[in-house]
Amino acid sequence: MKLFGWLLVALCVVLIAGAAGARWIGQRAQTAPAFPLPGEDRCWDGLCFSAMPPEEVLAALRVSPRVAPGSAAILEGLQPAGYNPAVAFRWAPGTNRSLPVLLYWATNGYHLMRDWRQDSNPPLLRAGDVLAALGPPDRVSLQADQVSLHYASRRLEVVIVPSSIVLDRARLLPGDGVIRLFVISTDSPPATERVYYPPSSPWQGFGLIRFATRP
Amino acid sequence: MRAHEHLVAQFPTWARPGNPMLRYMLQREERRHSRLVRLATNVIGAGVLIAVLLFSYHMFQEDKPLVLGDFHGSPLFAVLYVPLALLQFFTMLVAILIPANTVALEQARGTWETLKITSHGGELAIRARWAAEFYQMRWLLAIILVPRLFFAGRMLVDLTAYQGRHLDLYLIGITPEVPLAVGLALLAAGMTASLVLPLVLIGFNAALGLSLATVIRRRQIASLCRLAVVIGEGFGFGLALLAADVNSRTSWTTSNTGSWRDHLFFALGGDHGLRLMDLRTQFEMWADVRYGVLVGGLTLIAMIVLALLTNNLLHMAARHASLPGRE
Repeated sequence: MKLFGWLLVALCVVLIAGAAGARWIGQRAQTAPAFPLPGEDRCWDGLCFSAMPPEEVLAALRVSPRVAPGSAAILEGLQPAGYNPAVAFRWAPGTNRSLPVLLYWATNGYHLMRDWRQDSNPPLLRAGDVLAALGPPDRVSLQADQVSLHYASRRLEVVIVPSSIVLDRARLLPGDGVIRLFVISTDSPPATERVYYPPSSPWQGFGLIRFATRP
Repeated sequence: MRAHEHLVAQFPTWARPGNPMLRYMLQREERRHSRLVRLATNVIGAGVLIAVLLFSYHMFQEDKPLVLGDFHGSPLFAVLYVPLALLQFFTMLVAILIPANTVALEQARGTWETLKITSHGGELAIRARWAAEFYQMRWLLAIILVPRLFFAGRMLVDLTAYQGRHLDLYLIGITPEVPLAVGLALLAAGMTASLVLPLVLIGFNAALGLSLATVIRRRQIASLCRLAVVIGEGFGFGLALLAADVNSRTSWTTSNTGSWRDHLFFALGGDHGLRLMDLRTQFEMWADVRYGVLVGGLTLIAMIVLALLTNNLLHMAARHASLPGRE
């Protein structure tokens, strides 16, 4: 019994050390997510898209060492959403794999989006990568079949397709794919008639999230 | 080699492979059946195990992993889960059935009384019989434990995900709130319990089998008690697996993923903590189940209690075996 006790304690200590070591190695080995998140200056990978016309964006992407050569192109009237103009490029940060990305502009910011023209295209990131890099969001909202994480101080909205979604409940897990990053560069134009508040909730952690309809 | 010798030297004398009584018991058990019978048993056992493995693989290919329901973790885990759980249960039953005739066989040979009058003979015979079960089932134990060791390694690798913050991510918003260091300790406690629990449960069943064989004097009553234990354990195992299957298919929107008690019962009576050996499954339990973060630690405590009970049962069996007048 004494031997069993010692073996149990030794195994537990080894596993605690192993788990702490694995966590430490993970933090040292991967310092940044595979796809960069926009910074506090609302620029992405050093490029401030809000202040640049599409031609300039195209030129900047073409000289970027982390964009696959010859992949950046302007897309006119991209359907079905009708984004005009949009810029398509492949993000290739020195690895064999490259990630197709769409960039388009909104009234008050810009979107970086998974290239949805092919179903097989991977998401930009995983939800866990965003939370590991930026911490818990200020608020989470539900829009149709997607969940948005809001980082007010960074003026960033991260749109995720959750594992499951039913009415006002969603199940969000760290492995769920991020399909869009929305960088809000200027304040929204004033709402003249109605304001629609999507159901939202403070961050409750991963797992089941219940959304309330009040703002 | 030296480490092995050093480890064996820590065993009680009756559990060391060189112990004459233990060696005699193992050799006798080997000679009880002909080589052909043993070979046939092994071939049939391996065949059944491979068939279950193939069926589990087929169900996984059909996107319906057995018992796991809506599972998105490692494919290897999904395929091995049910075959390993069934093998563990089978081994537990073997452990309680092997010592059924321990005393009766010695009596039939006329060696029991001689054993008892030697210094601690009866007691040593019972303890050596208990240790012999582990040696006899070494291959079954290896099949059960090697995948668990692999899964433990896999869990550690998975902990490096999300810039090393995989654990931190799941500690936010759970009930009860636990600091990182406690979360780490609870995870390690759960892993420890999952690695050792099959051995403890097999040891417990072996001690229970020996107790029934020595404490109850009438063989028929002892057999009935043994049958009742086997039926009870089978019922508990079936119920736990059924509950797990129902839970995994229950809509997550109802939050009806079971309470921490269900998960504890499932770990002890069902898959012996195997499900806790998939990091994602364990973390999802932390997020979905109130007090789910404590299940690993509670399983470890329950396992220690079981180990103490096993020790007491073995002591009781040894004491009864030494009493005079047992015919």
